Amino acid sequence: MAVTFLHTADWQLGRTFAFAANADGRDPAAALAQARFDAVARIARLAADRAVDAVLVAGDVFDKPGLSDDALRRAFHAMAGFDGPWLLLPGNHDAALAESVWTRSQRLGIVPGNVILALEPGVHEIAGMAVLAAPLTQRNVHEDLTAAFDGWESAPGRPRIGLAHGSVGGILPEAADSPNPIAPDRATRARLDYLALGDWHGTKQVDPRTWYSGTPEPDRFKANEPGNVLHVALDAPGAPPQVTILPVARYRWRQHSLRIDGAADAGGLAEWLRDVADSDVLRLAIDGMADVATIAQLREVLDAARARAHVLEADLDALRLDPTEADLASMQVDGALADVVVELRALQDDPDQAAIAREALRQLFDILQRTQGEAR
Amino acid sequence: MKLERLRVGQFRKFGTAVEISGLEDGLNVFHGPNEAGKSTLADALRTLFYERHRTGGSVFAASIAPDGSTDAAPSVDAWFRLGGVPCHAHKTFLQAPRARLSIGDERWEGEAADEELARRLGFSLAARGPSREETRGIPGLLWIGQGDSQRLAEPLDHARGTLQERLQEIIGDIASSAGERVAAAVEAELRNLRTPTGREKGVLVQIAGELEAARKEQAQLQALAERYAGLVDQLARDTARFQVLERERPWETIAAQRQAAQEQLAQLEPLRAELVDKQAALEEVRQRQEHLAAQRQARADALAELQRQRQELEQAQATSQALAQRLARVQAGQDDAAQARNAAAQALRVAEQAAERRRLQDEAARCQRQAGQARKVLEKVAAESAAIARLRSQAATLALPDGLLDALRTCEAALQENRIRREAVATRIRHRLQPGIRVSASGHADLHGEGEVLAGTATTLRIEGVGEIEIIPGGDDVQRLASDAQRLDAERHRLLGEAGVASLEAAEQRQRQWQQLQEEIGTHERARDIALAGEDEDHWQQELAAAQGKAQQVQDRLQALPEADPGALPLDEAQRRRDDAEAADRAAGTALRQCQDELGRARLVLERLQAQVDAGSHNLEGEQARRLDARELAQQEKDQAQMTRLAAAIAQREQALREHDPDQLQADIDRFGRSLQAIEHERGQLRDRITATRSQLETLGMDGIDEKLAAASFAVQRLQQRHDQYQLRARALQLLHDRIQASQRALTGRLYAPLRQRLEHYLGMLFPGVAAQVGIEQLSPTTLARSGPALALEAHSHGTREQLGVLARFAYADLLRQAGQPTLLVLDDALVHSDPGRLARMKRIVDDAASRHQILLFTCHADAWRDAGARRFIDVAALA
Repeated sequence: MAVTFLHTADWQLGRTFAFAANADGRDPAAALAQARFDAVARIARLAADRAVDAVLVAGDVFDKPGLSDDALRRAFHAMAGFDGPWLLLPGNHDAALAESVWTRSQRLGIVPGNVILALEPGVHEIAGMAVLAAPLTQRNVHEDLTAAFDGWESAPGRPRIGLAHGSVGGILPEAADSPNPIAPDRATRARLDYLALGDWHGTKQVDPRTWYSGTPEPDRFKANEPGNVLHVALDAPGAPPQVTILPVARYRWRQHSLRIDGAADAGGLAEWLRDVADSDVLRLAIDGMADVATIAQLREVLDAARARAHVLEADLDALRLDPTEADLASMQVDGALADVVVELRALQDDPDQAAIAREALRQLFDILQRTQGEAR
Repeated sequence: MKLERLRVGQFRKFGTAVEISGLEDGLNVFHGPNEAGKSTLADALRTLFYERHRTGGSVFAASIAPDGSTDAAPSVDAWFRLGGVPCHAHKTFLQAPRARLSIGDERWEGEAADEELARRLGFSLAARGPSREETRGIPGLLWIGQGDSQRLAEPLDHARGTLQERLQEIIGDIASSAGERVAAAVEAELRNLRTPTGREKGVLVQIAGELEAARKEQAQLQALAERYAGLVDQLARDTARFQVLERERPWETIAAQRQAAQEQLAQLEPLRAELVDKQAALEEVRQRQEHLAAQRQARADALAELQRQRQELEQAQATSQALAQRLARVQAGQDDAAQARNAAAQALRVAEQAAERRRLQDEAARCQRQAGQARKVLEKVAAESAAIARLRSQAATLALPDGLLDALRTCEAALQENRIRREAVATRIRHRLQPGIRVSASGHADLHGEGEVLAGTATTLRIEGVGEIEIIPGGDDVQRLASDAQRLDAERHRLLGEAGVASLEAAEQRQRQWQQLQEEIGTHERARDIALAGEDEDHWQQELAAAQGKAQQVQDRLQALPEADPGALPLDEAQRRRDDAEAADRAAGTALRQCQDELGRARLVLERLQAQVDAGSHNLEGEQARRLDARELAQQEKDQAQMTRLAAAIAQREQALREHDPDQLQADIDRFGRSLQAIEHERGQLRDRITATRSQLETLGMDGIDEKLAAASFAVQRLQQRHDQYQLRARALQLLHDRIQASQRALTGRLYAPLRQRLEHYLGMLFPGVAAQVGIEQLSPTTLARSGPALALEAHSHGTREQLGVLARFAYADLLRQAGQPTLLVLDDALVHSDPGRLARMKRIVDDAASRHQILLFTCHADAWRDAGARRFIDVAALA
């Protein structure tokens, strides 16, 4: 019997972000936090649209145990768009401890009837599938919880689907010595048709039957292809799964480093920022050298992009101000000031003083520009 | 600038116009007595340049019009050259005011003339009203009013801008155009963040405060989150344990074990009761047995005691008899000792009398010896005294009166002396007479033949047939010596008579005889003294009498003693025997008393023992006593049998109980009970704690601690970033501030260098040979050091300040000239406080400055400036 389901994970609901509020009061951090709930709603809609048999969530539904009741209510409310079965697996962020987001949700009575909480290891026979769930009941474990899958029997004729949260040894860049290990050949050894994994925030295929769905809404600058859910179709037990990657993310997180060495580079930045939209969360690290005009141009480019982006963080601390002769002349940097500029430029090469000297030069030229009007 | 001609009309002192022409480059001196109009000329020049021609008002009028009224039309004309170009300035004030200026071919009229003149000379015009010091600029500095030389600060303030510009022109464009405003802006921004002492302030302090608060909140939330996690862990542990308990139900097993033990224990109960009964019965019999045995033992002990007492009694009787016999012996011994003692006492008395007799006899002999000795002394003394008396009477006949012999010797010696001297002074009469011729001489035998006489006194020579020649020896001495000789001779006769001798030799003889007698008397006296042995004669008389009396006394006592006993013992032997006898007697007495005491005590013991033996015999050896003993013996045997039976019964039951160990059963029951209690307690505790933890977690969980903690952490992070940024900003501003200041200081030093050079040029002339150093601030000399520490200008004398004021202006003028600025120096009664020495040097300085500038010097001391090398020396008094 053929089944379809959505594989997703790492919703990290309740995650907060360290972006400062904009000058106009717009709070990009709050929007990013809200975006995670919105992503769940979109998944629900997707599930309904595609009429899947179930939605399997492979851990880290919630970002932290100490969430407010309000956050819990909003989470389950976001799932309302799909009335088929949801199977939620506790991960390391929301482990099924003696007291957890799960027990609280149950106590509050907010878990809808079609949402199944896999708080204990075991097989869930739902929607024609046998889902072998390995929830984390501690924050971190060092044994492979999916090892038990090998011995678990399931009703014949139903596809065996594993649901787990952890690091597949030898596959992920950061898996070495990570807690919650998962054997790379678990799907084969446990005779699984599909192993749905969570923890890695990018979408990643481990083998033909083993996938990380990644987080549906990116939450960091790591470029590992987050922002998707997986649509999995199993035509029959033993048949290879057909996996479709469906993008659902609202925001695009990108970081970029560039070296400025003249006005042309500022133009390059402008080009790079040309298609920036309000779905962009950007971080720029800029170093190199620039004269007064280039810095002004950079600032203008950045200010323009910042107005369009959701978040644009630009670190110019490492950018050296290198005023040209024309800069100096136009700002009447002569006599005593000229000597000071020479000294400060030299200080920029002293590793102990560079930061202060850079800032001092910037301050000096800011003041020069600001007071030039007054002087005339 | 060179002023060539000046005309002043209707101006203060000068009601009619005066004109001074032919003014030269260099020094021009205007001299004249007070009130001659020197200051009028200087003021006219100032008025021409400083004042707008339309300036009015009574105060202004009073300062320029001859009679102080506004009806006058004071006018001033100046012909001068600027950079060689001839110029003419004219202004008429008050009535029909007008102004005219021509420079080369250019002309200005009215206001334009006022303005252009000011611009050319480096000052500004008052917007309205008369000029004020602050508008006068360079001329205000270089034109020194009456007595104003030492006032430098204010005129300099008003000229500083122009001076500074000119200085910069000289040294090139080294000052920063933007420096001042940037420095001010940096300072202002820095002061928003840091106080001058480096303390943080403003937004930095505010952010630091916020950061501190945010950290605190973060820490609180962190603690809360940790507490939450801790509670979750505890709940997990407690729940797991509770579930284990509920699943395994260990209390059920334990309760079953306790039940079994209790039942076993119940079955053993009757056996135990019997055992207790038998044990009690056995104990009762055993106690009775002990009591009986004790009673019988006591009686046996009493019989043994009686036996012992009987033996003691016999011994006491024997002792008593022995003591009575000894007493009789001791009594006899004591009588003998008493007799011996009396005999010894009698023998001692006889010995003592014999000893007394011998002592008295010795005493009598000693007295006889003493009397004999005294008598012998007295006889010897009498013999010596008789000899002494005889010799003394002999000596008395020979004795010369005291001092007589000495007087006689003296007198004789004086006479001898006198004779010698008389012969020496006597007139010698030598004569060699014709034979047969005889000359008589008074006091002398007649003279004849050849010879010589000495005429000690007046001597008359009578020559027969010739007459008399009286020779009178010259001088008083002859006379005096003659009279001395007579006197001494008479004295000698008197003394010889008194002594009863014929001559001095006889007297000496008598004296020697007397002395021999005296020595003999001495010999006898010494013999007598030896015999007396330091005592006087009476002593020896008494000694004799005493010895004789004592001898008599002793003799009397001897006769009183009884006859001597030839058998008497020596005294010490008699005493020793008597002492021995007394000691023996005392010892015998003591032994007797002891013996009596012992006997008394022995008899008392005997009586007591007898009574005890009698009583014991009655109590213990009677019929009644024998019957009691038999009865007790029978009872003892009966009890013994009963005890054996009971012990067997007890052993049998104990064995039965040992096989089932009821104590262990009881311990098991207790142990199981305690275990059940512990389990129940643990369950209760777990249940309570789980409930409490759940309730706490529910309360804590609602608040979304982790969300808040994340928010707080972000806040800390953001504030930290902001704080770091502001701190970096503050450090950068501080760096800028410090660098700009240092740079400006260096520049100022360069800016002041030409001024310093000019000032030191003049100072070198004023203080020759001294390396004078001047401190400069804001273009003004502020301190002066002359071979010593730098002193503020105010600290120097009035004269020195005045001189400095003048040469500072020369220095400015030099700089201005260098920058192409027109310079004209006006010194109105400057240097009035300078002493002749300084004035002389100032003249050199003026001369030096005059080689570069035109100087108009107004003075009332013409003579003082006559040698100043002036090109023109103008008598102002002669102008009018």
